[in-house]
Amino acid sequence: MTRLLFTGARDTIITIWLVVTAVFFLMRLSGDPALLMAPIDAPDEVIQQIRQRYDLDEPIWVQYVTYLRRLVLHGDFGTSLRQSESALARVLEVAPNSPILAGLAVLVSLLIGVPTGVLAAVRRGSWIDRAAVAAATLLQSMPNFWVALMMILVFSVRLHWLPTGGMRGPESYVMPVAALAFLTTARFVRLVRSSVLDELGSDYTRTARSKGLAERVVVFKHVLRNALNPVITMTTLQLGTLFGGSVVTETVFAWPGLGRTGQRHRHRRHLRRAEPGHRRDLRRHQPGGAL
Amino acid sequence: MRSDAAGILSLAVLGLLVMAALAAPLLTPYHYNEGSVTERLLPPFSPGHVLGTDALGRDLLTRIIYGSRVSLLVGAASVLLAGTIGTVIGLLSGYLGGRFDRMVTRIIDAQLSFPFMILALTLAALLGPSLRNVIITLVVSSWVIYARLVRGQVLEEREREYVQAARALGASTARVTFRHLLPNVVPNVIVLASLEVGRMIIAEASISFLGYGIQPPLPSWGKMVAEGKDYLFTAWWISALSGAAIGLTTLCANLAGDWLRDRVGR
Repeated sequence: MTRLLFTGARDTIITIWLVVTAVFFLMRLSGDPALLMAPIDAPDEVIQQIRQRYDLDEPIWVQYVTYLRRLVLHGDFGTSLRQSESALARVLEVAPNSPILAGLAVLVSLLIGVPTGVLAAVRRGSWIDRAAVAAATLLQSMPNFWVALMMILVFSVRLHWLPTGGMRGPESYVMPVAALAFLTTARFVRLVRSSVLDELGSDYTRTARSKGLAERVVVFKHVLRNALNPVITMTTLQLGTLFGGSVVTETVFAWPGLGRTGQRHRHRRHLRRAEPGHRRDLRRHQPGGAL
Repeated sequence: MRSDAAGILSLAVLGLLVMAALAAPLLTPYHYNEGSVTERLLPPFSPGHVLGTDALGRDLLTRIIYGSRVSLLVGAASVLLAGTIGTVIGLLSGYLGGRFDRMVTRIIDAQLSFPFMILALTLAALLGPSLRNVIITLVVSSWVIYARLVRGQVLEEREREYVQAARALGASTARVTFRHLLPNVVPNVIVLASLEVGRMIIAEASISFLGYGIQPPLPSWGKMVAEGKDYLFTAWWISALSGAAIGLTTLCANLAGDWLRDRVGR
């Protein structure tokens, strides 16, 4: 057991190191960082100053070592040049927002998806089953930014029931959560349905039935316990993915989250900011995957 | 479970879409990039424009049909390329084992822990927006899925008797992997690929929606939805119809993939 933990930890570290290195090089691949940071008409001396300030005139491996050292020893993600504040602070500011959205979305998906899946499996072939599967397939095929926009069209533009975006007050949570939840719910419905169907065909179910147990007992007491195993796995995976912030949904609803923040700075080719964004995604995903 | 009718119907619709995409110039009286200032933002069913026009006066039906070319091309190309690369790497990694396999597994795990969209968007932002770069981005982001699947299967198959028999007869590594293992791996890869097509179409649409993908003059459905976003209050049909096109195509791809899986999968 300890050995497993060690291997798991070692692999996680190696993975994180790979990611950190990849981020470092990706950021520099897009051109001389000093040129990107400086205003367009800056004279050469200014560019040179920027280089010196951020050690960009050092050989690349020196920069890399410094970057690693700062990161590991001091937890220093660098400074945001645009706003002269620590990139980490900025990310921490918005950090809780994405998980909140993700958590709510997964919760809603579970509440709706699991019962629906169970019902569809138990009443296999009925209209409920067919409708559930059809709805799930349909939802999985729609691009989520379009679903989000259509919701805005109907509920904000036409009906004026809900705000179009931002993160103010409970009404502004409804549509973003719904948009994220659509896809996740569809996945859960299909997963639960196939999982329960598998269990319903197994030996112990037949045994329970032949013992004369009521169908409801068979399902709730025996089948569900086993069928929900893969659901737990998928829940952690989904949480891991969504924690990183769904860029598209956040952009459409102007939700201040990790995905969108990373996006806006990716957009400005901001050297240091995108790095923390990437690392947050990774951290969230590793625990989820390890489970 | 799923009736054959749905699967075959969606294959038929896909076929129609492909034909429409290829025959685009014949089907559309307008050019997809010619706008008319006097005919901006016309609603559907206006005379001469069945689906209306966009902000620049370009006929929406034309743009949607031409946009299908982009989506179908990206979907097919990215899946073919990623599938091939992933399968080959998975085959070799699973069969050869050793340090090569360990290294590949680390890379696969590392990449899989990155949320797909974030990786794709970063690559797209770095490479610059273009059709070719979108395909490259999607291929790089998605090859790992095939590799992981194939590797898992190879690990199973490699202990089977036919493999041992082949090796006893002196077959080289290349022969064993490509002549014996590959045919047993391909069915599952095809099933995965058919499901990935839909995902790639949506991914391209999302990348273009955010502005990192296909650029004008090529019409991309995702970009069209983004363009229509500014007119949601007035000319909502631009976004609605473009997005519906994406959804319909993806739905057909997914249904066809499900049907395929029911027929082919183990």
